[in-house]
Amino acid sequence: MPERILSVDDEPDMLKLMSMIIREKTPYEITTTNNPLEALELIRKGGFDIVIADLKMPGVDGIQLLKAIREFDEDIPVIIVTAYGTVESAIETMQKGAFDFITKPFRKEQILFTIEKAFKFLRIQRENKMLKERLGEK
Amino acid sequence: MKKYQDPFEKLFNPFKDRWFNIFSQHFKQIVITTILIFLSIIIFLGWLSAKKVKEVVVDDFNKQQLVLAEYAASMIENNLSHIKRELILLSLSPTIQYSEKTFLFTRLNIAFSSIKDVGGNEIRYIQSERLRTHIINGDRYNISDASEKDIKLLKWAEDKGNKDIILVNNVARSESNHQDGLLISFALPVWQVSVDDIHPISTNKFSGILIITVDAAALIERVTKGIKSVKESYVWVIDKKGTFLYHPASEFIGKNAFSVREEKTKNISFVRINEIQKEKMLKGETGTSWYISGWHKDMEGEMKKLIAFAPIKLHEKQMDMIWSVAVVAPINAVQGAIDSIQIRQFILEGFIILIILICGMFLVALMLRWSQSLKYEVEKKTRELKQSEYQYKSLIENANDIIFTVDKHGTILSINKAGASFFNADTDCMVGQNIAEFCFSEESGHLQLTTIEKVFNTGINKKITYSVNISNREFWLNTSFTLLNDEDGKPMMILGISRDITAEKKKEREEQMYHAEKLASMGTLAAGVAHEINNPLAIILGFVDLLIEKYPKDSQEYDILKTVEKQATNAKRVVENLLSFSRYTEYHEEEVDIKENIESVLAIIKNTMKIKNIYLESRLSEGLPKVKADAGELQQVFLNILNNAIHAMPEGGTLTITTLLCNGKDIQIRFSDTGHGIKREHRTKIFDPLFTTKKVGEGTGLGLSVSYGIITKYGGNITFETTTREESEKTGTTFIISLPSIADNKTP
Repeated sequence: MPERILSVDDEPDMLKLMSMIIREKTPYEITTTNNPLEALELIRKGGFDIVIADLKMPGVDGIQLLKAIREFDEDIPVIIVTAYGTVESAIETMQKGAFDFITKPFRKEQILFTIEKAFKFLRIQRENKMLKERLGEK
Repeated sequence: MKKYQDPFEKLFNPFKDRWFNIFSQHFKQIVITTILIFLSIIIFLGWLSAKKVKEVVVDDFNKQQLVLAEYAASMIENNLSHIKRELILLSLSPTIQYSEKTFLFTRLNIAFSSIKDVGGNEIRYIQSERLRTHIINGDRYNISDASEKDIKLLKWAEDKGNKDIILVNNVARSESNHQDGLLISFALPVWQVSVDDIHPISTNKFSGILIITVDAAALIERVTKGIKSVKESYVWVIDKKGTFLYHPASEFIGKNAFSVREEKTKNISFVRINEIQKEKMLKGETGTSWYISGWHKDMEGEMKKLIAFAPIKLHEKQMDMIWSVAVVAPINAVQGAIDSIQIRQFILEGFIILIILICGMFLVALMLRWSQSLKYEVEKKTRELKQSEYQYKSLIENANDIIFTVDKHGTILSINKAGASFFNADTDCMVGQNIAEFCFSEESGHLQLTTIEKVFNTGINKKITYSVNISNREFWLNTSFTLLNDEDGKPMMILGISRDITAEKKKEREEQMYHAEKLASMGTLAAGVAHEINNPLAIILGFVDLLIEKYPKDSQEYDILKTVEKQATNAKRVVENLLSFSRYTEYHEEEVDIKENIESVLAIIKNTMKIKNIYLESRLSEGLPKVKADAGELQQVFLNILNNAIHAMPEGGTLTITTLLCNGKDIQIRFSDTGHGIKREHRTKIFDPLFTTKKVGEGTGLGLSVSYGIITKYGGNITFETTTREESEKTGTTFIISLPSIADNKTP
């Protein structure tokens, strides 16, 4: 079963672009939503390995979403994409537990590289967890 | 402004000198008194000298009279000697000795004619042998018998002891038939001692006696006739008994000199002349004196007379035969002459004094007139000065500006009303205080004091702006300091004229704030816009990126997609610039060398400049301290400004880049072009984002606003100076960037 990515953005075209890049360039599955609240529901139901979220969204913004995700899942990498490319916002998101920070407009290679990096991290993390569990069993 | 008058008073009121006033008030009296004193002294000295001259002249005159008296005496003595000589000659004549009848008369006649001129009156020869007397008296010749008196004389003559002795005797007037004057006789015994042809041997027998009688008055008159010292003087002679032998008043002759005067004038005391006669004249003395008389010739009345007297000795052995000759003249006669000279002298002196007085008065009048005109001039000038002083004072007092004077150390010497009311203080309270005490900050005070000292030492006027503290509120003053010199050209004080520019300063600050706020809000706006654009750009670029891979490179679709990508990338750059203006982009602060960065920018645009015919003049200082900034950003600023400069010179020109260190801490970079300058209406907008004068597509309108954002971010400042064709022949713009160097501890 392929790994699944959830992309959250208030702009449907951006979601469209994101799903096109993922589908065309990666073996991963992508689910998109322009409603941050729905995104949270989807993540809670499980089955998503990576979340790519826009920072500025109406209703719930990327930071709030990140905070909400961290409340029930500590591990899932969240990549924040933003048009507000300031150092301050980057530092803030990283502090809040984001995996990485990408400024718009970006090159597709940039997002692909970050996704790959996130999966690598995720795999290592899972492996680490499994090994810990085994150690615990013993 | 009390103290303000001092220099004026000192300059223009020297005439209030007390002594000068006293002198000018009493000038007339002083001059007149001085002249009077001098005149009195001159008159007194004149009188004294006249008195002395009179004394000297009188003395001289009397001495001259004495000479005359002595001369008269000697002349009389000479005549008497002549008579005596004739007597001796006659007695030695053999004709007489031997009584030769034939020649006796002839011989006696010869002798008589010889003595007749000197007063000889008679020659008498008494023959002892026949007792006969031969008398020759004028033309008459008588021979008579000897009288008893003659016989007496013969007896005296017969005595051998009386041989060769001349006997002098007064002859009583009655004894003679002579009309006037006293007679005097000289008798000499005659002995036969001579020889002649008839009497070859002398017999030495007594022969008789020869007597010559002389009229004393005639004798004296002959001598004194010509003697007159002045026309008023005359001569008189007295004999040993005090009898007048001669006197011009003939009635006095033969009278006693001691009594005859009193007989003539009773109410005058003749004690003095009697004393002189008795004590001096009759004792045979020579001398001069004066006496009081009651007349002189025809003149009558009491008068002082000068007298000079000398003795006449009739016989050496007969001491009782002494006469005295006196020359007298009234002192008035002498004084009259002197007086006339002195009167003339006095008239001359008076005339000279009069001339001196007139000249003096003329001079005094002239001086008074001059001093009056001078006084008038001084008063006029003083009035004018007072008026001008008043005008100046009121000008200073009513000026809206603060006008004050301070000394070298900043101590307030004077301050006008506007100044005192500005500082909410009293003029008197402010005078004496140091000007720095009113400054808002220590820095302001220091600036003021150093400026004052500099102006005092160099004499070069200076204008500074500083803040002062009034009731803990900051006020701004723009003050020009000017050196005031005293009359000798030495630095005296500093004149300060201050203008309250607090309002302007406030406005300026407000404008700055407004400008900054405007720029900041524009930055926020720009940032918002940038974000909104970034989203669609990301979508466009993303799809283009995906799509472009699907077409071969030589296809038309590939070209279209590439164009879309290029334009979208341009848009992305604009957005990045906007963000950097609003400080939203990231930057890396490092220590940056300005020269190095300018040079790297110049390397990029060098070719463009060459093509555009722009000459570059690079005046980049070596070894300037570095600044803390992002090198890339600074290069962007330089590039923006240089691009504008090139754009401003489409037909070529000169671009000058200068770097220098200001105040030891700020680095100043000046970019000067010789372009067309910035139009007046554009000057306030050039830093606004999206403002451009370039054609569409040539400029984004963000270059200067971005540059402004970058420079202010590092604590620097960017300004410009520009001149357009309308303003001057020489056009061009200079952009001045100043950045704090790392030598300065100010943090950006």
